[in-house]
Amino acid sequence: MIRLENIKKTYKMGMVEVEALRGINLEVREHEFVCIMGASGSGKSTLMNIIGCLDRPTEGRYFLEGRDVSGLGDTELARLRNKKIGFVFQTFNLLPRITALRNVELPLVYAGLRERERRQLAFDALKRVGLEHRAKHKPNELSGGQRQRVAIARALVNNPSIIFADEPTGNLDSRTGLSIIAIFQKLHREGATIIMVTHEMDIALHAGRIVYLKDGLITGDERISKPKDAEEELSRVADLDNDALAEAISKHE
Amino acid sequence: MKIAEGIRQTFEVIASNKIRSFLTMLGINFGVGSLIAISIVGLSFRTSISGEMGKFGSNLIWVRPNRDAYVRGEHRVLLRESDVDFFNRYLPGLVYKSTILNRWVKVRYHGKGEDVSVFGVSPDYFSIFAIKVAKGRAFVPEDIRLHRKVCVIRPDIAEDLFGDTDPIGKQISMLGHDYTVVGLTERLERGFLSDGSDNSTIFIPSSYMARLIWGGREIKYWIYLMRFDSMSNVDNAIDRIDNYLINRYGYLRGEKRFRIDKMDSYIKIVDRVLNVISMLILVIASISLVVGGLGIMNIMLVTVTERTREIGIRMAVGANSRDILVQFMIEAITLCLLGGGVGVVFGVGIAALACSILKWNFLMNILYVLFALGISTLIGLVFGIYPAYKASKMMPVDALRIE
Repeated sequence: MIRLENIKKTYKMGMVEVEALRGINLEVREHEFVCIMGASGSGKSTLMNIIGCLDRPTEGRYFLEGRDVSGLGDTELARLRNKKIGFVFQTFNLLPRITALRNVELPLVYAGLRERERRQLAFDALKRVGLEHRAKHKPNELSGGQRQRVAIARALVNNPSIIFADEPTGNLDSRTGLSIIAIFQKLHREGATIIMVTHEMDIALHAGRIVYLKDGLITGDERISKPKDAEEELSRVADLDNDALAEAISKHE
Repeated sequence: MKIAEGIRQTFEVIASNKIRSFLTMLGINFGVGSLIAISIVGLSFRTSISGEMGKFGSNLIWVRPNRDAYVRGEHRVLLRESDVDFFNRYLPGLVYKSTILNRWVKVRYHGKGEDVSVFGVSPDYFSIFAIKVAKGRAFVPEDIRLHRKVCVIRPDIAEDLFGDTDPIGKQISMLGHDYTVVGLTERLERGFLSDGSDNSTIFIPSSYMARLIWGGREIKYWIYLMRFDSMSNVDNAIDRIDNYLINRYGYLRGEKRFRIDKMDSYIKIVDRVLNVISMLILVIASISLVVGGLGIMNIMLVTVTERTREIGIRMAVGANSRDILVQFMIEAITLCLLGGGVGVVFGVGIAALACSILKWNFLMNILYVLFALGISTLIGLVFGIYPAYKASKMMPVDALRIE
């Protein structure tokens, strides 16, 4: 699905040249759930931007579904972002003034679909993340977790080949974060290809494969034979709304 | 599709920031509104004046002593019967002719007496000045031929002397004789041009006024009006009259003793003045439109900067440069059209108000409205393109990095 050949990216910061990526070689196959891990400044965001077609490499080649996209023009890249790629951001990046439904419709607008089709597909996508009853709410009327779910619905709505998630749980509390990971795992089980960036090992262990990035180079690439199950964890993690604290302690004693 | 969606998104933007959108549109409002109001008022004004002047006809000329030839208090040479005879006989295309002799005279009816401005005129006078009678009739040549002592009166003096009763047939006493009222004119509306009479004037045949003024001496005239059937005959007549009068009376201090005025000249002067005024106003309105447009551009630039993140998001989900450009262009144009639309309503309202106050005919031409809306769209286009272009040139990576 994705092949990176010697990808390099260099920035000019004033007088200094910064080598963010110094030669990345990576292959991701269909239906994989990959986590890219690294510390701040490791270049993981830069890598995500390139494989998400938000930016172009300075050197090297990027094959998406067998096609060399590293030399494509802006308009073609935009088309890829629209049809082949679904992006989920750490800060949700929803348009604040319109409803959840309209937000999810956005990629379909740029795909040229008519209103009725858009509405239906958007609604279906919201259903997949369990938010169909919040379709007419604006982002400021939704909780953090709900906003991220809307963002995931938006990423799904055009039936992309790959879903990218850049620290999707970074702005959420641990329990909500887990519920988001649970959604990603559910999508993965339904056949999606997912590439996620995170700096938390806890989160990364839910994936099927971890790629470790340091100083612009891949220093590790491991498979996980038994990834953690977010659904199962959710049932075990304390939820003060539901669990009676005293009951839990008494059970222990 | 894109346009409908773009318009929908524009309304979403406007709804979320009503005050700012309103203020932005206000700039265009005033420009377009004033443009429209002024155009309509100007058109009504021109038509009113043209209408009035047209009533009297552009083929009207009049002859009178040339003030410029004389010094203050000097005795002026006046037109004689033989001169008038010449005019009547040797000018082809002459349709109407009349003199005016007027004085303040004491008139009486059944004990009621008043000092009234009495005009001695020829029968054609009523045609020349398009004076309509509400009751009865104007003078006819027979009245002159049969030396009838008849008069035509205006509404106010009719009311003063006769109250509500019908004045026709009654007799007014003036100049030592009784004059029968044969006609009551319509009310004289205040206008730009006037024959010198008002709603209290009484008209009698000029011969009687001449007798009063000149007694037994030779009758002379201060003014002679003539209307012709065509402009070429007018020009021809002016030449002939000029030659005749110069031959007969010569020059005084280098000036002709008589001057000939053309209604047409006045029409042309008024037209030229109106043109200049229109131009001036157009310039002012255009400047205000440009200012409005600059306001739009300014606000759109701010908007683009404010929505950098949003632009990044849109690009991340698949919008390309053209999509972003089109979106912001539609926003600018829609804002301008909305503002322009309100401006048109506003301007038409003001124009209607002005016309009703000034008692001009309110003339609406749909072309003006279309023109105004067209201008609004153009302004949106011209002043919106730079901000839209700036927006479209953003790189998604950079745009998303903005907080």
